[in-house]
Amino acid sequence: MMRSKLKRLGERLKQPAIAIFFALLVGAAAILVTGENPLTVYAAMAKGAFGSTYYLLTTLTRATPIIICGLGAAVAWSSNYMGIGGEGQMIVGGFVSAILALNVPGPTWFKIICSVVGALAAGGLYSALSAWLLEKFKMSLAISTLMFNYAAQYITMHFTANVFLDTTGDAKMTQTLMLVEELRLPKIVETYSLHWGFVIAVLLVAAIWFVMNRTSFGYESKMSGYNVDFCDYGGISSRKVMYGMLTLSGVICALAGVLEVYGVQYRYVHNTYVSASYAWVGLNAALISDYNPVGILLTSILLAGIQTGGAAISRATSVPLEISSIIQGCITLFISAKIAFKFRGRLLRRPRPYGTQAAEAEEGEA
Amino acid sequence: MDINLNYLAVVFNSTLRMMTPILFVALGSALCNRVFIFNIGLEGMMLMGAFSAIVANFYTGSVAVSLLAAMLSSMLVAYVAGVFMVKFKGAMLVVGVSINSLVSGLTTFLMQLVFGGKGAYVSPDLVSLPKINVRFLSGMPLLETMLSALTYLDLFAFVLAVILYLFLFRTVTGFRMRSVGINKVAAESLGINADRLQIRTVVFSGLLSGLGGCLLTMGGVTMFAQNITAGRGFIAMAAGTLGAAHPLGVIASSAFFGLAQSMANMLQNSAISSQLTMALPYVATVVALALYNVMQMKRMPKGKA
Repeated sequence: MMRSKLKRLGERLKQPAIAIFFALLVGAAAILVTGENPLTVYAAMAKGAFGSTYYLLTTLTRATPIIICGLGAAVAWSSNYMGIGGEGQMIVGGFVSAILALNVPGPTWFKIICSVVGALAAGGLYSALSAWLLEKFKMSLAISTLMFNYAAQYITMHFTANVFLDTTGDAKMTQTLMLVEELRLPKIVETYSLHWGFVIAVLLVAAIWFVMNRTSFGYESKMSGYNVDFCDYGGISSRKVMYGMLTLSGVICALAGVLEVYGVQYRYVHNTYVSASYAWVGLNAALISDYNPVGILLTSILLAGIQTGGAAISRATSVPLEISSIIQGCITLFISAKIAFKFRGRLLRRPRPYGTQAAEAEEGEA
Repeated sequence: MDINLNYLAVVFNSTLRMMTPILFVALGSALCNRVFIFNIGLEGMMLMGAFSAIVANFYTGSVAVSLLAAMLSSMLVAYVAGVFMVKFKGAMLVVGVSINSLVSGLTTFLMQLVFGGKGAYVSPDLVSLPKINVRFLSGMPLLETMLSALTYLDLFAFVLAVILYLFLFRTVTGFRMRSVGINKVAAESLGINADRLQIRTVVFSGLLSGLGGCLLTMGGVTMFAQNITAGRGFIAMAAGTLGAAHPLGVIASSAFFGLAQSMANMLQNSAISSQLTMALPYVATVVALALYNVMQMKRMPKGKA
C-alpha cells in the first residue's frame, strides 16, 4: 500500500523533474552565450534564492501571489475552463481593495471587511463576466480573458492616475495613497519582507485541496475536467460548474492582489503585478504541478526562487534577470509534451480546452 | 468641412498603418484556424520577428537581411511550437503560453547582450522599410494624405490576403488544409499527411508573424522596445476569428482593430483620458466578437447548434 503510493508519487514527480532538467540545460546554453560558467551561475542562483534567511524569506514573499494565482488558475483549468485572466483578476482585486481601504469611513475592522469582501466580489464578478460571454456568446475564454487583462490594466490606471493619485510624494509613480499602519498585514519576522499573507496562501492550499478532493462541488468540477458532455449526461450541470469555477478562480486571484496591497506595497501601484507577471508564473506553476494544490505550493516556491535567484545573479554577473523567464517557459513547454504522453495511457480522453476555437470547431463538427 | 475631410484622411492613413502588422499575423491565425490549430503563440512569434529584424538591422543595416532574419527566426519559434502541438500533442494553450513567456524572456535577455540595456533601443543608424513614394498624387492632397508614409510591406499585406484566399480556396493544398481542419481523421484516411500539413501551417503562420513583427519595428517607427507587441498577436487572433478565418474577411476585421488603435492614438490629444482610450481596442475586440457570434448563431439553423 505504502509502496504503491510512493511509486505513484515517483511517477508523478518524474515528468516535472525531467522537464526541469532539460529547461536548466537550455538555461545553461543561454548562460554560456553571456560568457559565464553555468554551474557557478546556477550555484549563485540557488544561494540568491534560498541561501540565507533574507533570501529565503524574500523568495517566499514573492511566492505568495504566485501560489494564490496558481490555485486560481488550477480550479478553472482542472474543470476544463481555460481562462488566462489571472492578471486582470489580480489587478481588479488589488485596485478595489486599496480604493475601499482608503475611502470607506468607520473603524478599522469595518474598513478591512469592506475592502476585502469588495475586492473579492469584484474579482469574482469580473471573472464571471467571461463565463457569461462564453455561455451567451460562445466567446473563446482565452480571447475574452486576454482582452480583459489589458482593459483592466488601463481602466484601473485611468482611475489611479486621474482620481486616486497620490500627490503627496514626489515619486512619479502612478499609485494611490498608502494605507495607514493599522490596516497593514504584519510581518512574520520583523525587518524581513515576509508577511502573514504567506500563511493565508498556505491555508488556501489546504482549503482548495479539501474542496477539490472532499466535496461534491470538487467532484463535479473534476468530472467536468474529464469530459464536459459526459458531465451533463451524468446529471451534473456544466453551466453551474462553469460559473462556479470561473467565479471562484476570479475570487482567488483577486485575493492575490489584496494581499500584495495589504502585505507588500500598502497601496495600489500601477503595473507592478504585470511587470512581475505573478499571474502567468502562477499559471505555469499550476500547469507544471498538474493542478495539484500541494504541487502548486512547492512549484511556486521553486519558480519564485528562480526569479529571486535570477535577480541576485543579474546584480553580480553579466547574466540578465530574464534567464528566469527562459527557464520557466522551457519547463512548461517540456511539461506540455508530458500531458499528451500521460493521457495516451488513460482510458478517458482529455478533452480539448473548452471555450477555445478548436473545441468549438470540434463541437460544431460533431 | 475641409478640415474634417482632412482629419478623416489622417484617420484613414493611421488606420492603414495600424492594421497591417495585425493583418499579417491575423492571416497566420486564420490559416491555423483552418487546420484546427489554436495558436496563441503568435504573440511570441511576432515579438521574435520584431526583435530579430532590429538585431539584423543593427549589425548589417540592410532591409533585406532584416526581413529575412525576422521571417526565419519567427519560423524557427513556430516550428518548435508546431512540433510540440502536433507531434508531442501538447495542449495548444499550454504550448502557446510557454512560447510567449519564453520569447518574451529571450528577447529581453538578448536585448541586454546586444544593445547593453533593456527598455527601448533607438538609433539613427537603423534603416527603415522603404516607403512608397506618393508624390505623383500631389494633385490630390486628400488622397496623398490617405496613402502617405506607407511601406511596400504594408501594401504587400493586402496582396498577400488575396493570394492566400486564392491559395486556400482554389488550390489542392488549400483544399487539403481545409479538410484537415474539418475532420483530421477523415482527411488522414484519404492519404493526407495531416500532421505535416499542420506543422507546415504553423511554420507559415510564423513567417507571417515575422513579417508583421518586422513591420511593427521598421515601418512607422524604427525601434525595438521590450515586449513591443503589447498584445497585438492576441488581437490578431481575435481578428482571425472575427474574419471567419477567411483571408478577405480578415482584411475587414484587421481594419476594424486598426481603426480602434488609431482612434486610441488620436483621442490621446483630446479631453478623454488617454488611459481609457488605450483600453479601447481591447474592449472593442470583445464587443465585436460578441456581436459577430450572435450573428453567427442566428444564421445557424435551429437544432444544429
